[in-house]
Amino acid sequence: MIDFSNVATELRDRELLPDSAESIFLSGSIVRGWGNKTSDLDVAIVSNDHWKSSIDEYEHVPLEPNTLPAEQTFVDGRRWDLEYWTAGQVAQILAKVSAEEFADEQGSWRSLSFHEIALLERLPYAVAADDGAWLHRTQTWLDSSAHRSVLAARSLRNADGCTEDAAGQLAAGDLDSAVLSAQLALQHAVDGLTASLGQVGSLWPKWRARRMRLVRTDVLSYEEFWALTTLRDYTPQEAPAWVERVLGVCRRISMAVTL
Amino acid sequence: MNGADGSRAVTPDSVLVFPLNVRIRNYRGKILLGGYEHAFELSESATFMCRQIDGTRTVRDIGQVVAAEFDVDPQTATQDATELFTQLVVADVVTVKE
Repeated sequence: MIDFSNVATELRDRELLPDSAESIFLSGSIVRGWGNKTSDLDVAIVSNDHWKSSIDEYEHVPLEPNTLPAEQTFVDGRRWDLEYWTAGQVAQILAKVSAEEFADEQGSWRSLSFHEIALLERLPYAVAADDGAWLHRTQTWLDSSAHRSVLAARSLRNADGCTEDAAGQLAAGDLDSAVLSAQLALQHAVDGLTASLGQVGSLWPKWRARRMRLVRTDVLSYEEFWALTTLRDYTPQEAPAWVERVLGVCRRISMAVTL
Repeated sequence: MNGADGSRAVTPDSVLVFPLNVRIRNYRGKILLGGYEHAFELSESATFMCRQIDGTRTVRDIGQVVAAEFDVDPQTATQDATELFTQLVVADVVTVKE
């Protein structure tokens, strides 16, 4: 078990904590209670100043400033992945998921990048490694924003693309490809469903089953989700019917998910 | 029976399905249907009618359900449903089952 109260000290001892840090929070599988012996700990540090990475690792983000510095360190044999956001960058991301932006047909939420989505999917489950004031304020703001709708809509949009592929492949007689596309459509649709019910995490498909178990919805039971995911009733002879059935489940989800 | 534009005509005996690639969104209870070319924002009653499409019920069956839900005459409800579904079939966001 990791002692979260020592995180700031561990960072400070390694000279990995900016003087202007406003928040330190932890996320990922360990925080959610789903981790294992080899799981990394995801640590985010929010500060007023832009961090200079000691390992020269930066990811591009469509924000100002336009890079996200990263560090890595090991504590008691476990790897910690550190991201350094500026408070301004986080504010820009939050602004993209406001109710006003979501209502706008050209809203900036439509072009969120990988790292922005990752932050938005981590924040709801994050645990503070400081006094928690910044994180509490941010999570409260997210609850009143279009955060869930944005993430659900994004997954449903991905499902639409795969559905269109599956329909086209089915019409062309390319059954194996249609099966794969239908599978992908279902997984995206399920991500949209779980996001709408408060379990976000589309960037981490490995935890989809965990999320589905938590939401307990009549729209799609866990048993049906798992039977489709594991191709339990699939036979090559009945591939077209199977694809149509899966796409029907995707439609059912799209109809039920309230954005 | 095919319509003038090649779409199958909608009658009270028609059974409807959604095309495989139709896009559906639910914005606070209001349904949007998007086909390859056309998109529709459905009214409350149209949303209710479309929710009844299941590949087994006829338009008349749907009219009966609508009549009970909105407390209207079944014949009028069936006629309204036929008109709505005709528009949606022409726009390729609903299909008459073969």
